[in-house]
Parts: sequence; C-alpha cells; structure tokens
Amino acid sequence: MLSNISARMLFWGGMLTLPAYLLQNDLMIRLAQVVLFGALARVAGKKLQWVYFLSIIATITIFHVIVPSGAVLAEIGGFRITQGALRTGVFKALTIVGMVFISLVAVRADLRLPGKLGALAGKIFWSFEQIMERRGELGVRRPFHNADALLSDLYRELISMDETVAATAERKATAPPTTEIG
Amino acid sequence: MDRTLPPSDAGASLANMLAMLAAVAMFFSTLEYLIPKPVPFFRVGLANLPILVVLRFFRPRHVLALALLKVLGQGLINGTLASYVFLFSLFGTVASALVMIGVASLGTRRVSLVGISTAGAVASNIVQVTLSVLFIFGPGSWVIAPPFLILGTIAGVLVGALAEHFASFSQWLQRLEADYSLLHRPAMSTEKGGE
Repeated sequence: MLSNISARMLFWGGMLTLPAYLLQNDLMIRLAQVVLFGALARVAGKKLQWVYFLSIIATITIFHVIVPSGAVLAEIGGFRITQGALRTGVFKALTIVGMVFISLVAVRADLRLPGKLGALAGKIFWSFEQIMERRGELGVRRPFHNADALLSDLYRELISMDETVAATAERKATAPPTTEIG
Repeated sequence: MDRTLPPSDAGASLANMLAMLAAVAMFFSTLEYLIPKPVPFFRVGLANLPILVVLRFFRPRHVLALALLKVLGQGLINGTLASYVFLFSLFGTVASALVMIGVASLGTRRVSLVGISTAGAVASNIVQVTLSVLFIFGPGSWVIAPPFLILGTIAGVLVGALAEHFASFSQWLQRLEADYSLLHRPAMSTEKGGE
C-alpha cells in the first residue's frame, strides 16, 4: 500500500510527523503512536522483531528505575520502584522505539531529495536507519571492532549507491541522439 | 556549477562522509537520550565521538559543519529543536568544536584525543553554565557549576579515550582519511606546483 506513495512524500510525511510525535508528553498517547507507527512499518514491508523491541523497552526502563524519582510504587528487597522513574523510563523507551518505526516508514532506499542539502539529509537518514536496524551486529564481546566493520560496510553501500546514480546519469548523457538533436 | 565526478570517485564525496558521521552522532545521541542524567542538562558527550575521530584530518570548516549536523540530530532526537536547550547545545557544541580544532592544531604528537576531548568538554560546559546564568536561571546556576564541570571533565576524558582507542585500529576511519585526502589532493598539488 505504502509502495504506491513516492519515497520523497513518505520522507516529508515522516519529518512532519516527528515534531508532533516528540512534543507531546502523554504516555498513553505515546504508546498508541508507537503501535500505529509499528503497524505502518509492517505495512511498508519492514521486518519488526517485536521481542527485540520489547527487550529494549525493558532494558531502558530498568536503567531508569535505578535512579528513584517520585512516589514509591513497590519495594523489592531494598530496591524501590518509583513512579517518576518508571514513567520516564517507559516513556523514553517508547519514544526511541517509535522513532525507529517512523524512520523505517519514512526512509526508503530509493529516496532522493532535491538539492545538495536534500541529498545530504537523505543520506544521513538512510545511514541512521541502517545503523539502528543493524545495531544488533555490534554484540557485547568486541563492540568497537564490530562497529568498525558495520561502518565500513555502510560506507561501501553508500558509495555504491552514488556510483549507481552516477552510472545511470552517464548512461542517460551518452544515450542515442534524441529528437531535439535530429 | 554542476561538477560531474567520474563514476569511480562519485561515491567518495564529502557528503557521504558527513552523512555517515552525522548518522553515527545521531546514533550516539539516541544512546545518550536513554542514559539517566545525574545532573540536569548533563550529557556524556558520546555524540562528539565522530567529531573527535576526524579532527586530525578534516578541515576546520568541515568539522564545524559536522558539529552543526550533530546538534541538529541531537535536537531532533531529544525533541528540543524548538527550545532553549537547543540553543544551549548549539553554543556549547560550537565552542567545544572551536576549542578542539584549536587544541588539535597544536599537533597530534603533543596532544592526544583525550586532551582534545577534555578541552572541548570543559569549553562546552563553561559556555552552557554561563548561558544558564545570563539568560535562564540567574546566578543560582553557579551552584550546579562545580558538579557540572567535574562530571563534564570526567566524561571528556572517557569520550577521548574511546575515540583514541577506536582511531587506533579503525579501518573505516583509514578509508575516510584516504578518501578525504584524495578529494582535497588537487587543491594541495596546485599549491605545491605554484611554489
């Protein structure tokens, strides 16, 4: 369904959505937004590993709960779970997951924006999406070496994308004489 | 105006390098967004890693362009683009980038990335505390200055050490440096030819 919409329109749609998404602070609305953008990402043909995203949400939330803030909701051993910390953790985790979903929907490989700045923005979002999508490759044992390998791969892909565009442009330039010349 | 590069060089453009580095900065901004903050407005500065690792071979204007992209990416991810926090971040980052460029120009044998990063972190924090005193919270802000500066310095050392470690083996960085010097070689060879 989304494949009928041009890559450029999807991108600008995503960009316009971002401020509305980020500037609202209601947790339940944020949850609804994340579910909606996740569904849109699936419609866009992107694979979503729900268990992976749920584990991200859990990890981020736990990290935040460590720093107490607000009323105490429960106490496990000597460890206090506070309302403020829990809400902040869940909210931030959902925000990040939602942004990944928006990025998955808004950035397609065939995205080409006009002008130099447009091209740069397109490349930045493409690279960011790739890093976010493949960050599982970083691993725990050798994250820096794995990050280096991942960045080398992405850089090569970025270059080959440009070379494809340049080759297409060159083919068009050296195409047989057109009616204009004839 | 429209310079068409030969296909073999078409991809090795400054735009590709800046795009990747900015995307890495955005990724680190995402990580930072998730880290609980011990002091309000405090950031570890992981998003500065891409700036640090190219400081040794990027020209100052390209470092500043990357710093600007980093701030925009941070604003986008943190949702602070339309707030005063963005201005704090902008001024802090520009001050930090300028100081890091200045310190780096002393030579990589004299100052390591740890030193450069620490100098940048201190500059950024001083600017942000000063802005806070002058425009937002008044003289009361000086209360948070000591922990802010101490934590900032520690974070600067940590980020510098990470950058130094990554730069010591990164093949991606070597490739970037080679492509960058290739892109700027014609200008350099002309200068030499003129001598």
